[in-house]
Amino acid sequence: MRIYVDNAATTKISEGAIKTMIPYMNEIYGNPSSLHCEGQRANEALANARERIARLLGCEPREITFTSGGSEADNQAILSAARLGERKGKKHIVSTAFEHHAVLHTLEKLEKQGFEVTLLDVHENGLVSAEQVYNAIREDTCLVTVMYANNEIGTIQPISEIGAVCHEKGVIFHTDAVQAVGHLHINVQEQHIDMLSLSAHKFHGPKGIGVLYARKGIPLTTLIEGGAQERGKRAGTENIPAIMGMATALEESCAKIHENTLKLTALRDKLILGLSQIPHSALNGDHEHRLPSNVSFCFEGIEGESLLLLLDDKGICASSGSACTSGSLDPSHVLLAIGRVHDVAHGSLRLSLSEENTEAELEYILESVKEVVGYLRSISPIWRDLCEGKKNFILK
Amino acid sequence: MKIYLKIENDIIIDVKFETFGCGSAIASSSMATELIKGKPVSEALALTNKAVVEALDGLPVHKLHCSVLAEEAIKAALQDYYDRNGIEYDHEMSSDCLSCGHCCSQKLE
Ligand SMILES: Cc1ncc(COP(=O)(O)O)c(C=O)c1O
Repeated sequence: MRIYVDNAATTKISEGAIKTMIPYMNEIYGNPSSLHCEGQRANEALANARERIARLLGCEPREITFTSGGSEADNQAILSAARLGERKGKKHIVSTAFEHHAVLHTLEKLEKQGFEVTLLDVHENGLVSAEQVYNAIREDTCLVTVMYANNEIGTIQPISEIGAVCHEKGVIFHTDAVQAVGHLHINVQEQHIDMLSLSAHKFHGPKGIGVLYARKGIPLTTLIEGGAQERGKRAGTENIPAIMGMATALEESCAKIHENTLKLTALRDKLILGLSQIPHSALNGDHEHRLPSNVSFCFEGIEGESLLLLLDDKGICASSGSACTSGSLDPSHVLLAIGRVHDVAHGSLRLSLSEENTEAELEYILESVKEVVGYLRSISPIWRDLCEGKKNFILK
Repeated sequence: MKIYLKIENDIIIDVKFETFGCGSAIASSSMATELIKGKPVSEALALTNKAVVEALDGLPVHKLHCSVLAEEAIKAALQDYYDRNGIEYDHEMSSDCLSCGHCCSQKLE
């Protein structure tokens, strides 16, 4: 038996999306730029997918640019706003300390080019406020970029309020909504969002495809030079099967948001309650403003990678922000941003649910995590030091 | 990493470990204890991280330091044994553990 609870990393593609995609591989496989009927049918499909996705986001089809995924959309959004700002002498960007690396590394690149970046504190609860954004915006601010929901700890930011503040101040607002799209209600008009990144594989669509929404009037900087696809803003023959699969997956997910929220929130809270019973553990991030699918915990005295390997052995696919899983010496920047000290951040576990998970799976996960944490603590010298009073416990 | 040794007549008759770390660190310490169990102290001192890696059928490159920790922990434990028993030894042979703050050694009584 395998239990998949790593849906924040990626999801299983839906049957509906697969069915939509297949004909675009073996029947309507023309290049949308070709003049013949086969090409034109593909071009119609492309226009159709763009319309459907635009409707679900509350924008116009021409405000949608297809990209290779969330990372490319984040890169393009930020660089476009930066180039636009630069021309007006505005070289200051506001963001948060716990963005995805697709955002943070792009900002670092801009810093080397003379931009100034303010990374807002996300506090112990993993939330940034509109007031913080308001106070950080300066005369020379050209962009505010704040993620919709965090990929590690699932906290949901007050996007509408932040959007309103940005519009009041006349600053472009981008949100990395990769973890939110298909899971939370989104309308870019109502929420004052100027640019938004999404990625299909986080909502049961195919991998390697995503969208950058950019409000009309915001000129995009091209990252990939070549043909005139995507109105010249993103060269390369369009991945029609993936685009069609993404449109279907997004429609399916958006239709089920209410139902899934109820189901997942119940499952999530049961997991949180059960895991809280493990002594010297703590939930990462705010409980209330949280994705229905996200459970993130730290367990003192153990290391996350060994936890993952033992859970994998028991058939459970999960994730961790420990240093040993990241390939670097530091634990996840997200856990450090919410004030977890290194020793505690090393013992992190992320379980991200999908609507396919069941109560029975949950019971098994709870039992397994308790067992594995207990075992790892029994062989941990740090745990021994904590128990013998040579070190002080940090988590209750 | 902590290594506990039980030594009789210069033979390591039992070894135990405690490890806080990733899968590779736990596997390295476990394998290192297997490799020196039943061996004379002098042979155990010659244990290299390379031997640990080979016995494990390899480790990912970015996890090689875990095997170094295992070698160092064994050496630190043996050094502790020599020190406690007032036995002279070649200090060059024991590498000081520099790479990890969690290393220490104790003798299994
Ligand atoms: C918040 C966030 N942004 C960006 C990305 C990158 O998306 P993609 O894998 O489609 O490039 C991810 C997923 O890994 C994510 O969780």
